[in-house]
Amino acid sequence: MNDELQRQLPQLLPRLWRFALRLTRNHADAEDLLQRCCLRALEKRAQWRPDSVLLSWLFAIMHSVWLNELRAAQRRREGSLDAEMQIEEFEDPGSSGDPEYQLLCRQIVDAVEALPEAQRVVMILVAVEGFSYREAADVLEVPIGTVMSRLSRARLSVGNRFLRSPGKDSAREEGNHELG
Amino acid sequence: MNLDESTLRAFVDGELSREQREQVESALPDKPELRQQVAALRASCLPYGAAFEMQKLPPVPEALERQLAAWCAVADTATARPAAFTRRHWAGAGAALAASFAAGLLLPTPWRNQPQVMADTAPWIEAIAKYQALYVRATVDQSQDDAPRARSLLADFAQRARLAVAVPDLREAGLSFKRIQRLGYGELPLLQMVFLPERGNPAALCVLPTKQGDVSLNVRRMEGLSVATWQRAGLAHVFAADMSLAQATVIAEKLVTDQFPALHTAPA
Repeated sequence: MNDELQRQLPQLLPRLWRFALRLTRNHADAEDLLQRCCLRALEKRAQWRPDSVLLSWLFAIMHSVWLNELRAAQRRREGSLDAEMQIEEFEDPGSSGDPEYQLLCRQIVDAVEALPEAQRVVMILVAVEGFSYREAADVLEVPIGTVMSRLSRARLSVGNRFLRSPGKDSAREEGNHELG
Repeated sequence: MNLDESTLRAFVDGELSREQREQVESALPDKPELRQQVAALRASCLPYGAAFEMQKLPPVPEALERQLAAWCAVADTATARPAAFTRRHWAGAGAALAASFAAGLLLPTPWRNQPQVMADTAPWIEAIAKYQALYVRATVDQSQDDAPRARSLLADFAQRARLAVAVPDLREAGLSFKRIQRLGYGELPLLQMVFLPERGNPAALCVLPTKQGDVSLNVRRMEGLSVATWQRAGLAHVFAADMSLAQATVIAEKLVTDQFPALHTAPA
């Protein structure tokens, strides 16, 4: 039995929850995804090797469940998703810290959120969660070259957005809806 | 060397060898499109981690934390081979855990009052959830509450199932009654009452007769819906709604304890 997984899993719950929210961008779907991910991880716990990174293994399970079980259902409901359930809320710029820096942060998040799905997820894994290219490739079950290619295209899109409209919220990127 | 996007990004991020870097640098003066890409990639060197840290994300739902603790406890006590620890095993283990929770043995008191969140599901509940997942607002938003038809169908169900059912008035929960339908699951009569929230997809309360004993409230996510089930006095109930588990649980708990007034009943 793999006791280490049962010990670590509750500690990793906040990071799993954060990834679930960012994958689904919807509170109820994130609950569903996290529940399924944990259940699946405990069912498969014999397959986890303690010498591998548990978080990557759990993220891989979550991403797989999202792609194979939940994303299609969310797309069916997409037209009726409640706008208030979006998670992109920020502190009031006037409440604390540097308002310009907070504005920059909001623009960075907006730029990443506007990316095509496959690029957005790579950016979240590598640039936000700090995964290595290899770990991100393992999570997404794609070759490492694909991760680097998606990351580069994502960075180009974000950079062009900032070059076009520094200090402004530019238009949402369209096209190139590559699915990962 | 192929000066593609990945190579240019590696150049900007300082991931190239000295030789590779020099090749890129020597190519840039003659290729304005490459210089443009390099400029964009440099502009994309941003504090992504810090930016996303500024987001206010909701906390991990307490029910999920408790659920995970329960599952881990089950896994700890399981003696079967790991490969045999299947979904079916969860159901039995969950029932044993529920008994422990009821006795207050495993977790602090708040959990005892929580409905059990189940992972395993009977086929008929799955069938209802799949059917309900096809409902969108347009399915019922033109429907009007037809009281005579509702009373007629309730009377029909009472005759077939030999059990009385009422349509609850869920307006205080933000759900307007839209219509009632007679469906069937195998030989069993099944009543579906459809309600519409102010926004989002319809919710439904389904009832069918059962010969099994009472079963307390269970909630789970299925087909993108929150699904609450319970059995009482010979009737199995399913409340399926496009809302969070927490919202659905609040409504289901009131349904279980008859806290909503009746909107329609079968004629005496």
